[in-house]
Amino acid sequence: MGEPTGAKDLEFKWGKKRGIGGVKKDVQFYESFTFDGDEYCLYDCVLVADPSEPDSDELFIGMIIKIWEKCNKRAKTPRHVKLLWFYKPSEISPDILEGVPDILANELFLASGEGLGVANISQLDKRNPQPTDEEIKSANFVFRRAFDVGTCKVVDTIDDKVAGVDVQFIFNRADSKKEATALQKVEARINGNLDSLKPNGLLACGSVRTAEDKPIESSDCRENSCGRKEGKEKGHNQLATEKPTLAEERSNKDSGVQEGTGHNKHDSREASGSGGNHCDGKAQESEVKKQFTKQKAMPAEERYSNSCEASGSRVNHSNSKKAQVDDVKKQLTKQKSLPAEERLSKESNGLDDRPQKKQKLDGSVTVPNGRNTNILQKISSDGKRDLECFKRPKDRVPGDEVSHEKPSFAKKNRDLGVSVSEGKDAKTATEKGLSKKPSFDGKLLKRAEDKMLADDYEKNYQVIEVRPKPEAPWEESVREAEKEEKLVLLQNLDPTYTSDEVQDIVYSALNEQCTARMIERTSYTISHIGQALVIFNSREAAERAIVRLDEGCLLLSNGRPLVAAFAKINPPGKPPLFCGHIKPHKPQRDTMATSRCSQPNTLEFEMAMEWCLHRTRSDHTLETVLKTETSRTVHYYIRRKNTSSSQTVTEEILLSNPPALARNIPAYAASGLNRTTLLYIV
Amino acid sequence: MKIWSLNNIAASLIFIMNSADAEYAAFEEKVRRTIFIDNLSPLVTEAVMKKAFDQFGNVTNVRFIMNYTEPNYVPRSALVELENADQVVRILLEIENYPFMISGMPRPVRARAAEAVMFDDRPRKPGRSIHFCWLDQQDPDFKIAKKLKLLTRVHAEEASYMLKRQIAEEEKLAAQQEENLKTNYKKYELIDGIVADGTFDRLARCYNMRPNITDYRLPTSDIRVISYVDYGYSRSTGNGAKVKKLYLASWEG
Repeated sequence: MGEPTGAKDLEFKWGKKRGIGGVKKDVQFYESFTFDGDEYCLYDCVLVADPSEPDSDELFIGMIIKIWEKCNKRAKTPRHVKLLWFYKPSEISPDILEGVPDILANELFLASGEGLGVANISQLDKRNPQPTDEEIKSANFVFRRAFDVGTCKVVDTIDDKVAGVDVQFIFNRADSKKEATALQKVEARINGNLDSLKPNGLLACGSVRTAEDKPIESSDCRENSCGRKEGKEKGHNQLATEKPTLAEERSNKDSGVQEGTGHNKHDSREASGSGGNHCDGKAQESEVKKQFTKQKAMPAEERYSNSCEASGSRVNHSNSKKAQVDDVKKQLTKQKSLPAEERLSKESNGLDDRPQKKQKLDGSVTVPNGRNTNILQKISSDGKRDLECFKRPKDRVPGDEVSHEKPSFAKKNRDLGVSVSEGKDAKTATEKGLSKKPSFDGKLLKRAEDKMLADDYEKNYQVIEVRPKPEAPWEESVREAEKEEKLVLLQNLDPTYTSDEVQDIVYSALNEQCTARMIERTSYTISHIGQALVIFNSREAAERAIVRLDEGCLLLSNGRPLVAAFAKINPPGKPPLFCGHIKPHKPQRDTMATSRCSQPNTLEFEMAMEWCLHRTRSDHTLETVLKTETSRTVHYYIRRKNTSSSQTVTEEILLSNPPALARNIPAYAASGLNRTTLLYIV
Repeated sequence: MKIWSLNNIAASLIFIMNSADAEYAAFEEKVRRTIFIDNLSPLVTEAVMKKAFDQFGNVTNVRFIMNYTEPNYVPRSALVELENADQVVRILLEIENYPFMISGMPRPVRARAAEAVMFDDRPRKPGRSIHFCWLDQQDPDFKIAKKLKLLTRVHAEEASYMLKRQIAEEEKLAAQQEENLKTNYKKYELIDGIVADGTFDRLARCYNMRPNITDYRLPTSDIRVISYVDYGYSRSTGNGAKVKKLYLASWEG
């Protein structure tokens, strides 16, 4: 049903820039690009045809993990994307799959490990597209295991990084929701939740389904797919009318599934299932809303596309598939007469009810449950023109048997452009081409609170790692505390104390909780006075501490009494101009910013020497002042010494309060003695 | 059984001590690898610092010391962490010998080896215990302690006064230098003028001298050493090769 379009006039546009890389900084990375009206973003899943086998109907599933353009003008094919492959079971040799438990027909294996076949780079050459119009039937896939191309094994665990990409991007992108495209993410999120139901539904109805499929399949798989469609529509109607029932039903199904599935998967399924359950009520609402809006605006035929939005599980709920085969057929005819695009949109599913060609990768729900990571991912693709041909190294994958299970492809219904890829449920539709885009069409209507709620629910039922509470940057807390008048400057601390130790001192001596940080020594701080900024819990606590320290005397190990006062800190903002750097008469070139040693035969050097001289002088002054200060301190001690008979300054203090110190804190004598002696004998 | 559990406790204690020791040792090693840079302009950014010190060694981390309590006109300082302690020694020597300027001239930065107290996140020194006591009001030390507290405040005041004076002096020096530079610039323009209009050559012929003018500039300097004039007395005067060198510089504006 191809509707070839001239290769030349295919629209191509880059999306958001990402960064520059490459050895010569000549590679520009992008976050997305638009090709022939469809937007492709990073981590989107795409269907790719093999250009070396143009006749083959087989499409490969890959995820875009990098998009870049070589700025080098001479490069023949400047535009590239890098794809990370997913393997269908049919692409992996049966020998390897032997012993792998319960492979779902629509399961995908994430390529991993080292070697050929993990990822490929394809040219994004607009001169080279194979513009076969195709209708891609929505296909639901699940992936939860990886296929290691190096060792040719199916592994249950997925490494943290695959082909240099953090798996977080491959799984659902839960943590990207903060980004600006919040609405879009909301969608992705909710989609994800709905999608997570799908595998459950699939499993639950697996047997039923197969039974149903058989007769249909043998005659014409079109029926089946149409049945689906019809079912979807039904589901949709149901949705509009009996929302609550549906939700209920679905949850029932879910639990049924849970019971029926193996133990190892139970946990994660449950998590995702329940997570999904709780949000789909919400999601439905908004969906329904959306659909209504859409429907009003759309011509009658296009309504079909709307109705297709149901997710897999919903499809399964509509049990009328068989009964409506006739109707379906009618529809089919109708469909045929529709322009390709509309038909495509009809095929769309997973909330992507936009009539335009769009292909979509819905977010999936990941339950990082130890090793038992269960990733449910759905790739829903809309009709799409062939973007380009991606090359896939399938031939090189050892043990790869392309022909395996190929018959299912042979059954492809060309009229519909739908193929039943393997038996059951997963229909990969495909002609050669593929594409996709995260959908956020009508769903922008979705309100933010939907997302919040969905999020919360999801969190409540998922296993989530405990992370340390994020700490506000010190500067912020300090400014905040100053405003609330609970910031205190402690002086006379031993400069070697650590922030933790200061906190401990405040806790032990003043019985207050606080956050403290030592002020670092610089050339401008008084070297013998250790200072710390302390944030108390409240203004009252701060006041209490200051009064206590002011009226009483808290003697620390260094023999100095602690001094406290409310701290005044510098207002934020630009510091005044720095003196000593001469303003250029004209805006300077880069030389201004370069840093270097000046050479002895320049005026600059002489001026620098003047600064050095000045610096030495002021250092000397500071030293002198410190010396006087210290001697004054010592003077106090000495006077004290003269009035008593003890021999050293510090002993003096210790002896003056012998019972408390000697008895209760014996170590005080030793540490206090050494420290003070050291300090004041200087 | 008891012995066992004791052993276990001892083992875990040793383990805890060891890990604290190890942490502190790692910190001390980091301090040795770090250089303290002072007299920085507020315009300096982390990237500038990195670039500046990458000339000497491999910078692994740069962090500016925030100034909360000192007046905000004091120059900034930063800690530059390098790959190893050898690089620190080399940089200190280099900066000692040649004034090193970052993001402006002619005021050079100052470099010193970092100390542990310059890190606000320094770990606890293992094995140290801190003691305190509240002094009794009747205690004769109480008065002394009071005075010491007062003295602390006095010292802080004195220090800030000192700082103010120091900054004022710096400003004076900066103003003076700018003035000098302007004068120099004028001087250069004058000389450039007479060279350009031929007066210089005429005079040289008149006094029978052979001037040698080279115009060159230092590759990285903001100040262009414009002319290097060599007044060589001619042999005819019989005074031998008496050479006078004149350094001229101009702020390139």
